Amino acid sequence: MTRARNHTTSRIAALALGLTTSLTGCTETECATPDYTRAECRVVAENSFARLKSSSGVELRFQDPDATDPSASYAAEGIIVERGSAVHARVAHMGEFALSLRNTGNQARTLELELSNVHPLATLVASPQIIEQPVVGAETTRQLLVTVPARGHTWVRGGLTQANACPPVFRLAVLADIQTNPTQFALIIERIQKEANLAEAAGELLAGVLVAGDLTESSSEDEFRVFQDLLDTAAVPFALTPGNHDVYESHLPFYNQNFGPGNYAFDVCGAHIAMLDTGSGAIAESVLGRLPELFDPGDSEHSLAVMHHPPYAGLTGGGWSREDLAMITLGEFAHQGGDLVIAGHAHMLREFTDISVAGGTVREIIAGTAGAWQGAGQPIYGYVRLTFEAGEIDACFVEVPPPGALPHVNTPTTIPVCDEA
Amino acid sequence: MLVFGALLLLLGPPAPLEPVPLEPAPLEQPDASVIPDAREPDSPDAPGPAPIEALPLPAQPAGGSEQPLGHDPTPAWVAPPPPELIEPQPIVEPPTRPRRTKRCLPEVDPCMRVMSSRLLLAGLGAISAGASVFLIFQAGDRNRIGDPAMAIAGAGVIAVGAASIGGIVGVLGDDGPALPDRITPPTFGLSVGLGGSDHTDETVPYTLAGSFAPTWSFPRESGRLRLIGSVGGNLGDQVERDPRPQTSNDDGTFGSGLARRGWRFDLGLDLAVRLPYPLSQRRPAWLGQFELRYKPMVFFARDALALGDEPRVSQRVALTPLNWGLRWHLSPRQRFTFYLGPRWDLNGYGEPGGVAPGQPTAAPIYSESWFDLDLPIRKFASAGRPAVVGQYTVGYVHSRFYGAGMNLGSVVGFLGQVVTQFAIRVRPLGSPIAYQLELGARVGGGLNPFVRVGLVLPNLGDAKS
Repeated sequence: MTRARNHTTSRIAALALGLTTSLTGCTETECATPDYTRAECRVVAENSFARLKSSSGVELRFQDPDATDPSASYAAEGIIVERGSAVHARVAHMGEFALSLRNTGNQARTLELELSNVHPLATLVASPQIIEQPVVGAETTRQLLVTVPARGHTWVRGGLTQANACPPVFRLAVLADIQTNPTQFALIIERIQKEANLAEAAGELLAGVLVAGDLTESSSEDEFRVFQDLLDTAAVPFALTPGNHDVYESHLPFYNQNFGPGNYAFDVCGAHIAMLDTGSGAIAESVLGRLPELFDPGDSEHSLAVMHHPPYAGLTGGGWSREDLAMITLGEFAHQGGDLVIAGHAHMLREFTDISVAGGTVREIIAGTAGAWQGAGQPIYGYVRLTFEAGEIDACFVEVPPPGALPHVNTPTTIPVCDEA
Repeated sequence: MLVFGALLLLLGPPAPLEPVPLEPAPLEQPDASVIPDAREPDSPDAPGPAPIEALPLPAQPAGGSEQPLGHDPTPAWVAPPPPELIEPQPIVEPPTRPRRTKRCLPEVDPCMRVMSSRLLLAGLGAISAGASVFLIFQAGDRNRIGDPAMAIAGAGVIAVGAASIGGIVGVLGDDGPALPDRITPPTFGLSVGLGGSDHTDETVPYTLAGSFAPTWSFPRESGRLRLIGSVGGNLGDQVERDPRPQTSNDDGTFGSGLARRGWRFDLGLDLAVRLPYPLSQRRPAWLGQFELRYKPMVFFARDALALGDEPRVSQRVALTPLNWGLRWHLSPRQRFTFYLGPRWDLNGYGEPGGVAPGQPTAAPIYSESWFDLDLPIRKFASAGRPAVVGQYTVGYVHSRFYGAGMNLGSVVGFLGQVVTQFAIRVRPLGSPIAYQLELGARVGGGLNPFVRVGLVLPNLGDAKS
């Protein structure tokens, strides 16, 4: 009897062990079955949208600005889609960019290429194969006719540096958390137009706008379309990264389909800016492995990191789901000499001037003031103006009060209200 | 689940119609000698069956007057004929049953009104959670209410869950008296956290940790002091791949993105001091024993990283020196515990051999909420075999220091972890050493199961040991 029972126990144990072993062996490559609420799957998506084999047979790739080989690699620095007879390429940021067009066919091809999110003052590297067409409407859009020779390639490169358009003093606007209030965001875009004019009048440059996530409330395609329509009216390029409200949809990466990457880095006017997709409450662990590259300032005088969830939450309540990854991110940023972290998520305006990490200090600004509900009382809507001058980054707040509201005299943090100019 | 629990709570455990013999005070109850008489007859809160003084007296026989005859003013000739002698029939009314909220738990002395305790806990929990969530949405982020409100909301949810689960178990008859040899952290333990990845070529290592919790019992069961700590780490490297197609290897497989190996330790004290029971001697509510808790902790985590090809070390320290709490014995077998305190972090980072530790920085509030439910394993105990007791625990830890917090919809990065576990303790007959097995999981960013085995030694200063 005892022997029979032992035999049965052994069989059950063997079955359990076998089941466990077989389940352990059931693996698949990352995002073979996609779930775009996972940060790692959005890494796959943002890179796949950075290249396109068009119907004409020409392959277009966003590339690192220094790249020279059109077939060696590509980089998630924009999104390319084909609409009708034209190919549309949205540059992800206001820095230098490069787009390669490679023709593997035996006949030369000419493409209608629409470049969007390009600074009005940026210039393209001149090439006889590129003809700029006049554009009516959006100031940040370029219409090009690009000829790609048979079995050859053409590069489209551009940026503010190409135009020597960076003055000694330049500005960036930063904000986050539009969510349910695109109406307020439209007012902010109007104010940014004014900001560009004021900067120009002061001999400065508004290089662009950094948005730290939560463009939408529920990450629906309709909301992203409304947001895109608003961006079409903007005077300067917007660099975006998603927030948790932008990545609810598990089956389709609507954010990446509309705006491209969430993890990328670029240089503009002597500032190195890294954008990180923390929409899932943390960055993808593969992106963690790329932080030394993403945060490397190179020759830039300033270094910024922009992400939705503040890596240092303090007592705000809204931080990363994984503190270990947040502190590694903040630590690497400080280790690379980073100056300023821009975040949102918490619908407030706050500044932490000296977060101690890695033996130094890092500054963090939470600018969740672009329209999302802030709680009881008169909200404080607007954006933070960063002014880069002589190795310093000055921050002040440009309030864009909702219709009928009086502007605040002071902000609830150490960031002062900007002077009009 | 909670509604069902609430309904069962209203049913409550059956109340005895007759007084039951009193048992000696259970292990975890205070010394009965310091407790005033719980059945004081003139007390409006007197528990249990109605005292004999309150019962109606039997009807007196008509001729039973004690007045002397000479005082009767009625003339003798008008006096009525003597009545027939009728045997008096005493009128006995059934003992009145006190309201459910006033009933003491049978076989438990001193009195514990478990239903009142649970209703109060559920009410406080619901009010706390509701008020916190209301504040979060009403006061909003701008007023920086999120951090303390989330900690209190988590505690409130655990409190409501504790009252519901406790009520269900109470209805099923396992509310008391207290079990001997109640489960506590093992004096020495060894735990394993499960690893494994479902992604090709990636590894998530198992974790191994040793823990200790020697305990010094104070005289007269007035409390105890426990040294708690654990040390452990990964049994191998965590390896993550870079899924970008353009950086894949020549054979098409993904290149390495991140390698990581870490170890952790935590160290602290857990002081428990019994408060007088009942708290109010004049109007005792009999809602269960309270304990004052103080649990200062140090948490340390060090990770060796390979970010691409770059070696790095992340070193994090969290301090919770002012972590105060309260434990509420809802019944002899059920307890609710809550801790709350500020936290400071020191974040070090750098290349190997060059890690700067960082300065103390204010960090999110630290909080723990626990519900413990003792479960008798009667089958074994009644067979004369080793004593076996069980315990179910569910809790909320408002911290993301050691692992991912829970995300619920748009509530991302606000919450800590939920921890649930079942523990079982086996003590051979007459043995001073017991063996303990714990199976549990941390919920937050997925399910992270763990198992711990441990030895339980007698407490220092414990006379029974």
